[in-house]
Amino acid sequence: MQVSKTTKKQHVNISIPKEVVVEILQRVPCKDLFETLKKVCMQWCSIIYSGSFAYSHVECRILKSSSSFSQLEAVVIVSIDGTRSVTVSALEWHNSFPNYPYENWETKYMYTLDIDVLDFPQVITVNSVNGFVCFWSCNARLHVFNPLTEEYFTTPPYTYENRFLSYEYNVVVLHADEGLESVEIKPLVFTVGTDRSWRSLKAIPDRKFYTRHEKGVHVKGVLYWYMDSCTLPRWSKIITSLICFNVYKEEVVTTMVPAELDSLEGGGRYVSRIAEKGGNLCLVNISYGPICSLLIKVYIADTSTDLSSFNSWKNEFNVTVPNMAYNINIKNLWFVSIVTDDMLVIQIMGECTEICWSFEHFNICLLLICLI
Amino acid sequence: MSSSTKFLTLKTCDDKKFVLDEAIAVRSQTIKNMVEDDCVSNVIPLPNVDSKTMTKVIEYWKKHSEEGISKDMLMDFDKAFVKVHHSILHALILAANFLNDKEMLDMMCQEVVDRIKGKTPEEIRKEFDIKNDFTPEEEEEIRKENAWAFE
Repeated sequence: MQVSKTTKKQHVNISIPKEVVVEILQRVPCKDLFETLKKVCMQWCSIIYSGSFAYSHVECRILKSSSSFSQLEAVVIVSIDGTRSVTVSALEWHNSFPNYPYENWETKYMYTLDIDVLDFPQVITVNSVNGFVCFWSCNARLHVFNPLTEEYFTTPPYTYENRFLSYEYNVVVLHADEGLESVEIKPLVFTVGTDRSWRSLKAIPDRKFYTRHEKGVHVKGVLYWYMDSCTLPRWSKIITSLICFNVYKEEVVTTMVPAELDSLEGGGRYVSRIAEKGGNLCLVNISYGPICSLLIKVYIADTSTDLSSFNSWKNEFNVTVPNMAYNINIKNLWFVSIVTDDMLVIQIMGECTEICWSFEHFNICLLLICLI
Repeated sequence: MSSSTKFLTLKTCDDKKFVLDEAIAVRSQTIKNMVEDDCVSNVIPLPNVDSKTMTKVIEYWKKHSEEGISKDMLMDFDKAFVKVHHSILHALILAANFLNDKEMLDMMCQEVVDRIKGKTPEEIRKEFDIKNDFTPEEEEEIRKENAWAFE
């Protein structure tokens, strides 16, 4: 018996080759992709949802929208021939394989530095602050590059315990002087072009900090870090504090964000991060939602008021991402790279999983990249 | 014409031959690479391009290589050039992609993007002869994904 032709599905759109569709969709704003174009046909839908497409789409938009160095790009450096030179590479899209070795990643070569920084060949994810690429070396020096001018400087070494940094002509480090009974956290400051050594500021007493290499955020003359800390007695209770460093006064104030903004059912931690959005301090909170979804809430702070009060924070927008929590352990390291009205870019760093996934809705886009 | 002018012969997939000034043909990065690598014998085969499309491509290349042509004239030419049926547009995009002519590719893709703008999925399918190959269940699921809502 012959199958009648009319009952068989004909894919007419075979006439538009996939690479042409990719070229076209690449040039369409996020909003249209997710409101309209994914509904056109299976092929378009699968292209839009593919990680490689998302990555290049986001990258293309970042390059267009800013002249500064993209935070997405400055992700990896690797020391190649032993200890002498360091190659800074920008990570390009790579497929998800467990334990995918670095050598097989696609990277864009950027530059090689002839400096003695690393004691063994390794990959480091680098911090990128205000477009500068910053990373720590094994001899406890901080290296800062300007990728556009290729200017480069290295700070003097300091004993490296807690190492946090941010950069805005000043490098600020929270240094732990640890005794048997007490701990003194001292902010160390290094002003580029002026200082020859680290300047020690007034200590923050009786407090320990745990770093996950969070990025500092610079907003209106204040550097913010958001990290776990514990206090006496017995260092037992861990709380997440917001540390505010006034760049001009060189003073540190420690506060907490209201519990409403950083609490996760089940007592999970590491679910909120801070970022800068249009000159304001913002807080991004990720939690698990129903049916394996992720809830992302973005709050903007009124930094002229008491940040520990819930009234100082305004909920800018919330996004619910379905089916996302299958892949993600939100306790893993993650950073908020970019928050604008157009996009929200989040990097997630896992130990042996790499996920790149993207979604966008109403011009909000999330890109999650996992690095080893 | 100066004696140094070299001509290349391009052969499309339907066996039509086009003889073209090398200086014009190297607008295609693909052809340029072949010329530079010295792997051009007599005829350059273009297995992905048909003669109808190639005629259009050459028309574009010649116009854009004309000496003393003003920017406004080129703009008018480009505007008229892209006003073609979508099937020709797609063939041109494919050809520009294969020939690796970024300028042309950008222009053609932008035209498609402009045509897509503000249209519903149904209108887009109609415009580009795309068949809706979603089952009703899949369509419902995709529609539901809009629950990614923005509160």
